[in-house]
Amino acid sequence: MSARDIARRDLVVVTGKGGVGKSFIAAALASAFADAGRRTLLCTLDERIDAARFVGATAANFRAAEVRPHLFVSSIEPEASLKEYLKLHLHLPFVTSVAPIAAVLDFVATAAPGVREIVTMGKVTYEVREEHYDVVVVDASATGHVAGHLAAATTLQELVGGGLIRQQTEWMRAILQNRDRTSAIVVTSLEETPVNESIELITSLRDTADVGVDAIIANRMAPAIAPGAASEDLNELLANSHGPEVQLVQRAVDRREAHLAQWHRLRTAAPDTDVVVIGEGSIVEVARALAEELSL
Amino acid sequence: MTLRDQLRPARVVVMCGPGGVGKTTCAAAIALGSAAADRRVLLLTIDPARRLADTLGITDGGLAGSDVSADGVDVHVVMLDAPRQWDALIRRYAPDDDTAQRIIKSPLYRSITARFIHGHDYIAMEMLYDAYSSGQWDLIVIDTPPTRHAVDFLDAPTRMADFFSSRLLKWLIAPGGTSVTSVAAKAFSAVAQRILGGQFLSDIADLFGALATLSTGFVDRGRAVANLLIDDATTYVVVTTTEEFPRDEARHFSSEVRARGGHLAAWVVNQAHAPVADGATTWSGGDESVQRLLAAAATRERGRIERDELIIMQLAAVAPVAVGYRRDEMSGSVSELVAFGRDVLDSELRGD
Repeated sequence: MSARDIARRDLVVVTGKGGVGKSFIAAALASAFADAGRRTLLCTLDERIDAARFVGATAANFRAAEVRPHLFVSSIEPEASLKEYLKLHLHLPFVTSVAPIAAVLDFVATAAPGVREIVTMGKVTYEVREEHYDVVVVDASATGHVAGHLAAATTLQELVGGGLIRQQTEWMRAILQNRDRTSAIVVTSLEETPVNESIELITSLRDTADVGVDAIIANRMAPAIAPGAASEDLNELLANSHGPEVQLVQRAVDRREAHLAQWHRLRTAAPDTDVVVIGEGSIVEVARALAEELSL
Repeated sequence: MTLRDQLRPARVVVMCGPGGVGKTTCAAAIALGSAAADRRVLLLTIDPARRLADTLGITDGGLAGSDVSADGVDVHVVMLDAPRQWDALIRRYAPDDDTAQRIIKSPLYRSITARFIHGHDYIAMEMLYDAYSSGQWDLIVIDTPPTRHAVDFLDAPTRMADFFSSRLLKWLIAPGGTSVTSVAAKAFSAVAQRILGGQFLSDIADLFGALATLSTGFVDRGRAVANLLIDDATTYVVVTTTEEFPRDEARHFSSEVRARGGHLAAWVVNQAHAPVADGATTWSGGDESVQRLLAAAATRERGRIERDELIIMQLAAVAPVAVGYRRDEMSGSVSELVAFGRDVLDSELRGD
């Protein structure tokens, strides 16, 4: 698996620790797919972290909206997913209104592990199965929760003997664990804790959720200060100069060096996973950089 | 007025805020910075990153905890270990050993306690209450779990109480459905069967049937914990950075705390870029093109400082702000954490 395989996936799950720019990268990736002419759905699993706003949508709803040619956004809320799920799958004769049933399911979802995740991931995989889009990009929940989301189908299948949920977990697993169709991208910033957590996350995605990881995106790498100059010369210049500007440049130099050290650590710790480095930039710039790096 | 002044009357400081802003480090720093020879401080921490855990001397996450000392201060640290603490809780509330074993051995128990009703959140609040009512501590600083919705842990005790007194729970665990006569109960059980299948449903019913025997304990404690969270002894510190998303989360959180009647002491705006002194710069060496690049880099850095200062001013209009300035990568010593904590605690609050 390599970063360039992302171009041919049907479902790309973007995850990472809070504060690393995960939603921003999900939005940029979806933009890049759309710019390449692919019919793309960008969906978020957490309505408070809204990737949609980065692509100019004021708010994402459950029903997908086209924000520009080929690019659709939607927000997969558990409640709305549940309603759709009930409409599609539950044909109980006495159901006159969804509300009381939703209350029941809400309760069951509270009590039974994985039911809520199955309902939201179920909506995502449903969109993939029905081939409504060429590619679905998910702005997934942050580290820790995502493995749970992706593993929900397996967990439940082990716990549940029958019923609708059981049937659903079977086709969901067929999509989520198919390495040709589905992959995850782990976004990180180049700082110690996010790098550590990303390395752990890759292991848990592969082992717990059985989902492949195509790439790590090292986000917001600090730029080189004076790309033409040798670093010894630069250090000497800084050591001999005085004043507040020197202090400021020193900070920028230190940040760049710290990022490079973390980048190196990341590549050593995850030798089998491509690391794609992205600098600071606007959504348009980052989408362009991703398109180039991933050959979209 | 400093953050230390603000926190002086508190016996419990709840540190909250979005993930990735250095909340756990701030909690540790504030605990260490608040400790004194005659002030016994407890730090309840959730999931410290490796380096911080090493600094705090947390080895196996034991329930007993560990002591950290530096510069004459001493803090007791206990880490949340949800699975083990759930077991302890079940044993405490179960009417007898058989019931406790029946629950702990259930195939569903492990995954349910990890997730249901935000098991993590509940355990964190439970630990807080335990420590508080022991009367052993002059101050307890608690880090909060990284929840999907920042306020979940605040509601966890109430939600636990609601769950156990819910009508639906009674329907779910009614044996064989025979004793249940109401139409609503029948509808519930039909829907649940259809979706979850009979076997799973009876596994759930079995587990919750046993759990229900513990419910008085849960409900009573849940209420007591909920009361502590809005008590005068408890104060909240919201940690954020100047980035847009954490800022929005922190705002949201602050209003939720206030809406629930909690006392918000201040925000810690962490990882801000520290201002530099004014003055002239003399470059010695480097050709003109390099100096131009350096000047551009300095301007970008100045931009970061100015942006942070502006945002800090805006945030100070919502609540008093203590600033945690960005520092070089921490080397991992306790005294460094103490120094950071004292910086944050002793600098003048903005917007106060």
